[in-house]
Amino acid sequence: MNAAFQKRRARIGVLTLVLASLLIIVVLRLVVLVVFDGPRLNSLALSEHSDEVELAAVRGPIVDRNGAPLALSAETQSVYARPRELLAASTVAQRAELAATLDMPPVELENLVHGPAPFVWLRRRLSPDRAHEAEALGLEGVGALSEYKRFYPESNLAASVVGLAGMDGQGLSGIELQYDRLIRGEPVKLRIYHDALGHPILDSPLALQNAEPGGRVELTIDSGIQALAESRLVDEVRESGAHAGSAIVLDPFSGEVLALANVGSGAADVHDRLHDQAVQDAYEPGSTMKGLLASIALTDRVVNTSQQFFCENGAYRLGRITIHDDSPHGWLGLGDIIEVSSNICAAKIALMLGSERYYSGLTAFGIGRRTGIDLPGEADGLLRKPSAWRQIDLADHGFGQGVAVTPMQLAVAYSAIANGGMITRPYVVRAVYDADGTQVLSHTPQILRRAIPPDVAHQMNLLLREVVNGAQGTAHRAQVADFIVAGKTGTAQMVNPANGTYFQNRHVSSFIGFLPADDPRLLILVVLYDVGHAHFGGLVAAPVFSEIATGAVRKLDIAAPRPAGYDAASVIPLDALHSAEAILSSGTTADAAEAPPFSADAGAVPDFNGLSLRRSLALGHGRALDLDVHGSGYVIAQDPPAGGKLNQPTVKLMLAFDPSAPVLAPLSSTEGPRAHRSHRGHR
Amino acid sequence: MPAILFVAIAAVGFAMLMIRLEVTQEGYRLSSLASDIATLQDQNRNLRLKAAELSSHQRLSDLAPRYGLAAPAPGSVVVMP
Repeated sequence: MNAAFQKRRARIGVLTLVLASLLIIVVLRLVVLVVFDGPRLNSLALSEHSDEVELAAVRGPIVDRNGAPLALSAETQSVYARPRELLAASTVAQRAELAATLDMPPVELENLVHGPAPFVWLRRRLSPDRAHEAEALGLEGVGALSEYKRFYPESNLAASVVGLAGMDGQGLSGIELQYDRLIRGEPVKLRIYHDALGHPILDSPLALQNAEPGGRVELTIDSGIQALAESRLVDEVRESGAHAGSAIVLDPFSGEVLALANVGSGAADVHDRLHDQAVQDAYEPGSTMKGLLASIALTDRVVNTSQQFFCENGAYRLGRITIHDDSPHGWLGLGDIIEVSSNICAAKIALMLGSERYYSGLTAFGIGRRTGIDLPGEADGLLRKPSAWRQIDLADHGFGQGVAVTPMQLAVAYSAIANGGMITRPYVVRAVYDADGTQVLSHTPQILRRAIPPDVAHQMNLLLREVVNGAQGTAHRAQVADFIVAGKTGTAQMVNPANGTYFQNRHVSSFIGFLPADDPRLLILVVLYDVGHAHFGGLVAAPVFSEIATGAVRKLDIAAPRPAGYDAASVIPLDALHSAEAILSSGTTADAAEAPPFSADAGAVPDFNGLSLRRSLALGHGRALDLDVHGSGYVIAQDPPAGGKLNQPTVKLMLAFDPSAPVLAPLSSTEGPRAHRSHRGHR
Repeated sequence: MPAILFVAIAAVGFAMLMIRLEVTQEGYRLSSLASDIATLQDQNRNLRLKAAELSSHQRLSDLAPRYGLAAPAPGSVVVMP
């Protein structure tokens, strides 16, 4: 009994031990499964009934100052293949049909699907219709995914400003690169649950989140002015045989860039999205530098407007180098030097200034340093330290040789002359708004420093008008009907990189000016690179300036300023204005072929009072009169007086901008306006 | 008493099941609506692109002569001060 009981008890004990051991093993296994393998098993379970998807963010639009879109993103479809599945389930003929649908050679498709990759893109960024056609073929292993593609609806308008976004939606150049962080938006990674058939189930309203779209970038560019600048520049590059051209239209007070055009001469690079010549490349400015030189010399009181300089009658020997003028000049005032663009007298003024003062003045204008414009890759230009300047370097720098500026630097420097002396930071982006319309970035005009005092800016404003309106001025073709233009031409020889000398027959021709001169609203720079010998700034760049300015004042509704005592009855009919155009462009004096219809009394002296030079020319032309013009602006006096008997074919006119203001630099020459003159060196 | 408890537990269980089913149904509906919204937004973007392309400067300049339109001649537009 005892033995049996003991035996049974021992069995129960063993069984209990076995069961307890098993239980411990189960518990230990449970601990291993939960604690150690838990995360891995959990993720395996999740992968069975859930997916993590990335919702791509759509890039924000780029629009001009009026809201016209310049860059937009839209949905496209990209067709992919899983080669193993496709090859197993299709014939060569079916794949050829797929290739035809995707508009690709069958050989290319075969090469792609016979590669080692388990997943290949067949065609990316297709229109949704085309992708659906491919899917409709029903081939196993072929599918399509949505992707966003960047479109530029205005084609190549403002291409170098807007820039380029890559295939994967990243900014590569221009605004697309500079503001990529704001334009790109934020993609969202989302875990969704799906049923056995793969249909997504949103199990919580919290899961209803979308990728944050990119911001809307509003530019300062006016696409109308931009289109005009580009089209005129393309024409002029073609006609002049230039290698390339750039044009900048700025608001001189705010620094807003209204247009920034770069065009090339080759078919492939007419509009380059990756390169912005006006900001990233520097060139020797030539005579446009004389405007800055005169401003600095006036600021430092080294010269004054009544001072006379001897221009050496066309040749000035400085050491072993001889500086030439286009045509010989004797004694000239500062205004005449700017007007006729004398290299010799500019060199003399630079020598009077000295290296340190000239360098300091140029740096105040921003030469040799970036303007700070919000575009990538801006160049510094080239301005060596004055300690490295020899005497001949200083003289050369006076008329823009040996110094290199970007077109944007020059535009900003001349803006200071136009706006009363302040250097402003130029900008092309006015504001950025997020998807909700909240402004996340805005640019307002930013004054960086004063370059010249207001009185010097005013003096320069008056002097630069003579370049366009004066009898000996080099830029009559820059005139704009009804507006007074102030500006300066530049024709600089290009440097031969092979030997460091200047090419004799390759030039950079430019014109920079602003209008209305009394209240500047627009500053426009036109640069044509690598033009032939006969293409001076006043001949090739000035007309482009005039056309861009004419369109821009119309586009911006800038009213033409009227002189005091303006009489609406003196408005000249259009055909008379066209006659004036012809006179200005041909460089000849009046032709008595036809009289304008406003002629009241052909035998009496007409009334020129209050008329601009252009209108005076038109009126004189209609009456077959020669005009002896003094000063610039509007007619304040005439001889013989209006209404008198016409005994002589020449009428003497005195012009001024304000009847109370003294006439600057009275003209000594009686020759009429000329379209162009022979040239040598810079002007 | 146990019978009442059993019935109560069964009722709560059934209610939870129905709620869960309803949530799943709504999940499908939300998913479908989200997809519709995304499709409409994409269509909207495509239409905006189409409109922008149709009104581009280049296209309008090319079309203008066909309709006898041209830029105004110099002096034909006067802006009043």
